[in-house]
Amino acid sequence: MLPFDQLEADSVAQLAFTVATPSALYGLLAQHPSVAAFKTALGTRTIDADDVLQRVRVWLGDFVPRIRFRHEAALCALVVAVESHGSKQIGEFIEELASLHVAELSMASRVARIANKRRKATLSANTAVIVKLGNVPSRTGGPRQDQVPSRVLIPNSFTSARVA
Amino acid sequence: MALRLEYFVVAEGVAVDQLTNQVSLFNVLEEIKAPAFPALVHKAVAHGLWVIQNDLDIGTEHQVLLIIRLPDRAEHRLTTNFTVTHRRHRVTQLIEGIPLSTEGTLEFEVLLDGQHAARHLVDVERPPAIDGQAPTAT
Repeated sequence: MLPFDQLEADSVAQLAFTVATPSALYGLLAQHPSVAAFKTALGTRTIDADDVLQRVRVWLGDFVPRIRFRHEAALCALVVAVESHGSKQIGEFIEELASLHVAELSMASRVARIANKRRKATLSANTAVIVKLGNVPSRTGGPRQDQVPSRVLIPNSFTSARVA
Repeated sequence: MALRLEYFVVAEGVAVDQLTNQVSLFNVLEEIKAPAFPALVHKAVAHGLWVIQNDLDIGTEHQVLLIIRLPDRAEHRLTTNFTVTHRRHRVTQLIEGIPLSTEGTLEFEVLLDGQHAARHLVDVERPPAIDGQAPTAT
């Protein structure tokens, strides 16, 4: 069974039907074998962030206002499965879902809020800038080799091995 | 200080794994041997990890100032602004083309919101002469 299909398994759907609070559902999903299998697939790069977002788009294609969203249980499980994924797109997806206040996705958005909070507590944010101080010559027109500093350098403290 | 600096280091390269968000630093700069002057350090990465002291700091804005002091006492100031969104926040400043005109100490000082936080010093040297010969002058 494919990782996405596992998230739509009956055992996942039953959890979503029987558990009333998002924190309890989150906790149970975090231990669910389907979620574990999905995490493994992510870790081995069998599926990536684009696959995840593509599948979410497919699921949301079935969204009908005022009718229970049929993929909500799978969406909850997906959020738990991708919570610790480092990519920016996944972060934005969880953030957006967490910010929703839609009745048809109420459980998924509340699970996403828990996942989002945990994500911000465990993953580091990144800010990066690039600054040019001097003109870096191109490889073809670079400086003479004797003008390029060499990397350094372990002190010359090796001793030769003695063969008995 | 609202944020605590967990570590600050200057290296030649940095990589952040898109899957795990783990950071790797390559070739931490400790010493640069320039065969002759002027010389150029093609790339250096100043990398620091800031950690919030409490959740109330989420959403606050901060400024990291990196001061690069060259061995010839020239000084460059680079500012980076960021808003705290996570408990830990990495700030990476990639500097291209650091000119070195003489030997001495290359200093990277980092300040948060104007307050000194850390310093990374790199020795810039000319390699010792071989067989009593002086290094080639430029």
